[in-house]
Amino acid sequence: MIKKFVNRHMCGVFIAPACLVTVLLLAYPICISIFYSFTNKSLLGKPLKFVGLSNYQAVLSNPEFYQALWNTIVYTVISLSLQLLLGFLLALALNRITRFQGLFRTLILIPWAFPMIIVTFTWSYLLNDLYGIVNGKLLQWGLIARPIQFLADPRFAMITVSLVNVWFGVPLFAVNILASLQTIPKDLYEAAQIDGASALMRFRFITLPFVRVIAGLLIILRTIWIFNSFDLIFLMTGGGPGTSTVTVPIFAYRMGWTLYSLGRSSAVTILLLLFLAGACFLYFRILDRWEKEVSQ
Amino acid sequence: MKKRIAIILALAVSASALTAGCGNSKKPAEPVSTSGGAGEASGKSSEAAPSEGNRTGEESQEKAGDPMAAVTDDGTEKTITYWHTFTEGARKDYIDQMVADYMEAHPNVTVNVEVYPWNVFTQKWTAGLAAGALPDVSSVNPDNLFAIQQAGAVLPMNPLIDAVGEDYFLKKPLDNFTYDEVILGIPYYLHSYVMWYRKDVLKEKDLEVPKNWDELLAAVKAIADPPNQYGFTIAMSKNDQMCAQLLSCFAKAEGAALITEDNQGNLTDPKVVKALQLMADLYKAGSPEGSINYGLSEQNDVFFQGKSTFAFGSGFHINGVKQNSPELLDKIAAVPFMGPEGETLGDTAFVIGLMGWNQTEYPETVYDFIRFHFENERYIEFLHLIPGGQLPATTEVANSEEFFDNDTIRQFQDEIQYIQQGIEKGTFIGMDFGLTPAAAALTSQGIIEECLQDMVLNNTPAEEAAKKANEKLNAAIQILME
Amino acid sequence: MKKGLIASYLILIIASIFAAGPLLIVICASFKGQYEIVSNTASLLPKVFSLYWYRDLLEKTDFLIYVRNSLCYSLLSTILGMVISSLAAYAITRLGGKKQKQLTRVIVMTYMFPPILLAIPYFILVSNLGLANSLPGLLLAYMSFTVPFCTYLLVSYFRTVPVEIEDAARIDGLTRPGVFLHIALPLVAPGLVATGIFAFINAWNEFLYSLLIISSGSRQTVSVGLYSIKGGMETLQWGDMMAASVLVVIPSILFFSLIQKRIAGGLTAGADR
Repeated sequence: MIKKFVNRHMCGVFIAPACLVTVLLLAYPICISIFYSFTNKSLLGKPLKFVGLSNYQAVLSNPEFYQALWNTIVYTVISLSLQLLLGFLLALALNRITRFQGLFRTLILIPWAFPMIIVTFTWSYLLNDLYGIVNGKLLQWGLIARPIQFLADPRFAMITVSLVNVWFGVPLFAVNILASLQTIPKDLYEAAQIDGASALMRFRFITLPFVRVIAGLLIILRTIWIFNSFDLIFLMTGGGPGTSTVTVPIFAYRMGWTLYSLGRSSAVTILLLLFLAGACFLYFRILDRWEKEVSQ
Repeated sequence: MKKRIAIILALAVSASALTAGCGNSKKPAEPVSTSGGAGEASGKSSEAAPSEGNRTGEESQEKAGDPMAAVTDDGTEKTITYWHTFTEGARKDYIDQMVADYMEAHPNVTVNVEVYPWNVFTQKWTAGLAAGALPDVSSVNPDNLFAIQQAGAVLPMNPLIDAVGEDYFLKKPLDNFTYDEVILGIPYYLHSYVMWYRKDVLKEKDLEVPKNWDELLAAVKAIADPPNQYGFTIAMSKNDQMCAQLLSCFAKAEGAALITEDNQGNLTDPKVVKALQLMADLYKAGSPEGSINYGLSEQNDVFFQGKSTFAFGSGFHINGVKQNSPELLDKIAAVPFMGPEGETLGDTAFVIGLMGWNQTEYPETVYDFIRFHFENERYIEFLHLIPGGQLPATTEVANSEEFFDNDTIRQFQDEIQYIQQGIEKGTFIGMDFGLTPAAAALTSQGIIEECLQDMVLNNTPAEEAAKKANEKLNAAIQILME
Repeated sequence: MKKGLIASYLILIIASIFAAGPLLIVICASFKGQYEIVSNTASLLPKVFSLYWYRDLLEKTDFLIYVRNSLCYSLLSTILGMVISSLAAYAITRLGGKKQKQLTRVIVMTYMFPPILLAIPYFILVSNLGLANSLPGLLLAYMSFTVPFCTYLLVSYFRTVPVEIEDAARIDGLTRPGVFLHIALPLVAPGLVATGIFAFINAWNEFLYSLLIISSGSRQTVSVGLYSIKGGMETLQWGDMMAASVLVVIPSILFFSLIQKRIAGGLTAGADR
């Protein structure tokens, strides 16, 4: 009886646990956040009351929110574009070489073995102004006269945290793009060469179309991940100096966790979700077009 | 197929919405009733968790000499959870041993110990409050304690004080933990902030110990010789609260409060603005440039490594220097913080306390276990783990010879005296007019730190930066108090 | 042709220096002595080779217990996540066409919630289910990132299994779940391994949920343990952190070097969607 049911409705039965998990772990927080965002929900035991849109109003009229949103975008764009570019470059190089491929692949993967807390700790140590080895060596070689304030100078802080993020994220791009490079049939290149296509043209018309679908998917996953990432910046600068590295998750954290105001922080979450959903929608449209081109 | 998935989805959504609903309808009700109870002091506490055991405890308490231990040892199995923040070796081992001793003395009680570093404590408590799952006993700092009280989760300590007598603990620290006659927690160890300095560096430059702000600034200017020697390290990371605490030290010394009696930010007070200006000047004159991004441990490191002449800190600095640069131990000394003209009108005290959760099943065991922390020999052993850093909260130990019978404490007799005076005169940051939730806005939001960063990075005039910070502070206070 | 090859090696060598350099510095620093670690920072190599910090770490903290806990939780979460996701991914693949695309996108969307803001609702949920401070509670929270991620990757692996093979197997008398178990799963084994590794690493590095949900000290994870070492004291414990970093990172890298072929090879399947 059960066997028959499973046999007939296999898809439904198989999907059910995943749906349950997704719905429980996703619908629940979304529903509760939407609900809280219209209330004065606080952890300090105040009577719950509806406050309409005033949480949204308070967030949207706070100039710091826009600063945080802008910082998040800058952080995401710098991190993502460099990760993609360097990852692509490394993948091409790895695909090209004939010896030591395994060795280089392992070496390039190293940053990925670092838990985030060790990433931030290690880089804070390396870049420290008083006893960091980076400043130490630069001073020793006479390249700089005073230590560079990587994390304390508002001009450098955002670049520094972005680059640390790039360091951490490049391996993922490199390995995935390498994998997709390896699926390109070699005879395509040979045929193109016989037809007299230049290296640039071969890249443009053979390599790129093959790689960009997987790259597109990676970009979506990483955009979301970077946009939402909290620990890297929080552990390295806490949003400072000034407001130069305050991102939306840090902004929301200060509301929700330290002011005990779930209502306010839920409103930030919902706004962030709307923004991300919009970005993903755009990505999906582009991805659709690319997929169509590939299948043609 | 599509339909079926839709049905499953709909079911699951409604189920989760239901759980969400339950969570909501239940949550606000509990804290309201319990915070009401907290207002009415002692006896109420056990009503939060009625059980046979503690009822009899309430009754026998008035007659029997040691009701708590009696109830605790009534033979029934009891399990309590204990969170503490003493993560490092010696103190962690000490607590483990103490808990083992307690369980040996009370075989029917099991204490589950869980250790967290300070920096994640707020997160643990916030989540715990949200879900209504907290430890029976916990170590706590003043701002967290008060937030927990606001959330209606604090077990009043009045019955414990009634049992041990009012004089058992030093009066002032206990007063600092009292709100509307409810004793929210028991101070475990005390300290207050003093200004540490390097005797040898001052001597080398032929300088006196500064007696007012002008002298301090002049000394810092004369000494600063980066990267070999810095003047006064001022840590401004928004993840920490070092600027807020230091500002509080300077402001209290000149008699200004950071939060007014009616819970408004007071950063625009000319005295506070002047203190902010001093801190910005001190930073520019001789703090490591990168200290904008320093927190407590980085700031301490500079002093412990012998690279900062002045430092702000408690008696913990003695231990820090001893561990990192033992050769410097003879060269450090401390004085109380002073105002612009050398006045010392107030101090910033800090207390690590012990608290109970009012939903605990075994309040008597909680009281008994907390009292167990303070048994003389054991307590002195604990205080001596960080000599000079942890000062006694019980009257007997504070006046005992055993406590002062320690080489380090003897060596830093004067400093410890200053710190004790600070505890006597002092209040917590932002709580000049008694416990208030508004104080949390000073320390958790990085507002003061951001204000100083603004002053030193953008050369924003002190008045303007203070005005901006005050607005932010008031906005945060409003969220906390509304 | 030759020029491109040399350039490739050059790029890889530079990249390897950047990737491995910080690790090298940390390893060197971890062998510096008690005082040298903060005083002798300009030179890479320790003046005196010392195991002080390793001893300090292993004696003073329960580091090895944290490692064991993390291994245990991560493995369980990987296995559970893989079971749920491989079932779902297979079903989604068999739905085919537009539905498949839409469902995979819905899965991507589930990533959008920032974990820092999910943590409180999850903790409330887990507590209401009575699972606070329990392994099932933690596993439930871990499923929130394991299931979407694995399902997403596995869909592209299952797509490489030709439907014709399955049809043939069914004619031979296998039930549909039988086909999944005996035909489809073995065919995507490399993909399962690669996905499992991703899931494992995500769980291994996770911090916030394990901090909130598992509260008992002796059951803490490595990430939370590292945080305690870093933030627990009045001074920076550079040495302990260095030693701990080495002990956490090196095994992962050895593991990578063993399976790096799998990672790259396995992901190839993901590319041709």
